[in-house]
Amino acid sequence: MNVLKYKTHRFPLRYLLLTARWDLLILPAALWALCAIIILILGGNMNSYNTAVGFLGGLLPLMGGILAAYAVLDDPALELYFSSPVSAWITLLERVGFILLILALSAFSFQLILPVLGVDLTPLGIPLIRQFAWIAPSLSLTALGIAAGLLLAQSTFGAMLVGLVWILQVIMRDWFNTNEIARWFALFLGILRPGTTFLPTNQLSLTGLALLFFIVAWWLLRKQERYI
Amino acid sequence: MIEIKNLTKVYGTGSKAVRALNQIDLKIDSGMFGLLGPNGAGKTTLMRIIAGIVHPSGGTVIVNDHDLSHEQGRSAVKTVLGYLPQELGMYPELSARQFVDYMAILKGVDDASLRRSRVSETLEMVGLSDQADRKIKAFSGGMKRRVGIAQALVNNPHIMIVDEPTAGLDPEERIRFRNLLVDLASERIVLLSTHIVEDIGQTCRDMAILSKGKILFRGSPTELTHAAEGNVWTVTTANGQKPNNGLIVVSMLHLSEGVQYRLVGPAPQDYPDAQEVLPSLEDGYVWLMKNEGQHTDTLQPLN
Repeated sequence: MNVLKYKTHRFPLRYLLLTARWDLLILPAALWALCAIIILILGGNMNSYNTAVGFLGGLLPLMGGILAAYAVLDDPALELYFSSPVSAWITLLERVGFILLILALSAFSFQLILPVLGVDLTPLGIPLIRQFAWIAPSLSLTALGIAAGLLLAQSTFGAMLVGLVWILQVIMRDWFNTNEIARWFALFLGILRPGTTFLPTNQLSLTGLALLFFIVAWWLLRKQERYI
Repeated sequence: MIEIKNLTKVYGTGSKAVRALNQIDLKIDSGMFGLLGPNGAGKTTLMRIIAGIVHPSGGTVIVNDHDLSHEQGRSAVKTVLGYLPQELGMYPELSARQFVDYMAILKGVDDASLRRSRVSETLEMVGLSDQADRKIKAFSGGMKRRVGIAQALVNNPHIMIVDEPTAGLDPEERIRFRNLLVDLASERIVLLSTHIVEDIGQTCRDMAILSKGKILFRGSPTELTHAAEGNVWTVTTANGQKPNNGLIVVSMLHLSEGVQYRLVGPAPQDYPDAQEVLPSLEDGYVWLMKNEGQHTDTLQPLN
């Protein structure tokens, strides 16, 4: 029998795009457009700034978490996928990488149009530093979303848990930003208190938390029988 | 070769634990192997374990010298595996060619030109060349099954696992499908799981019957057929009344003189005109299941 040669698994971006659920991907685009329109209407005042940082540091992480909750389990060909030799960590890398790519495109394109709309993001720091204001919470909630979806074996419940954490942090933002322990896990410190000296620690902590959730997700993803 | 020893699978824990497979021993050589059993017998669990998706609770499964107890063994088997699951989920917006191509990438066929030719070759094998660029959402159930077979073949697998492949297909499609599987089994192991007796009889030289997680029979379809010898009867009732004497009615035929029933069981004392007939594979299966005290209401009638 003719035996085919096998090489290392390749990132199939084309098929990730073609098989993606567009109704979920429309969410970032719709919120991007909505925030841009609001800023345009507000005409460059303080509320415009709040809307801009709200999109970057608040809505983007939420979208990342929701998309991640659906990233693995919301796949109609999941059993076929599991019958392929793709390892759990490659699956995670592909699915999470795709979401982070969407978030990054949204964040960078949004920041590009902000000067045109009259919003100055200088209070968040220099351009490089201000990226951490959305990257750190986005990583955290994305990792939480994928881990929670797999843990509960239900995409919807995973997305609900992400939403719950996000709402709690919005409502109790002052407590999260000031409490000695809670501020390690405060999602919005980067946009609400950009000048605080604790910010780098908070962002490192959120990234570490994301790493922990990714490890949990990897471990759960190896238990394929839970999801079919 | 597939070698299964003392395989057990338990779902859940404590009082909610369900034993899907119970100390199964099975050896499967190359060619077509049929796994027959009623719904809920544990066939799909066994197929998924051999496919490396479900982990055994106990025992060992060795496929082509790879032990499926370890991640490394499961990955190695998956590279030489073709799998067609019972519930075949697909991406409706992809064309058949794109779907098979994507599955080939997942299976590690990375050489683009080799993959292109292999995708075309498999679509040709299942008779979908003309429809290859149409979206899957426009396909009938039979065509989707053919796409499923194409994706299972795209990595030129050493082992093919097909779980209830003919369910929902029309008679013509079923015959076509069975012939295709027989052709494929000439150079690989094809493991066919089904609850349709006819599919096994028409395709397999070797088979096993699984019921309530246990192997009830292991042998050839001919041996299973012989098991019912002396226990298959036809009875014709003028008023069409169904015999109700503990025998299992396998089929019925409407004749001018009444209704002829085909019965499986010991000699029907209430019907002295009953005629003993040669058993079929389905009779053998029914006889075996009757002796095991199983319900046979999940059997599919012969077409």
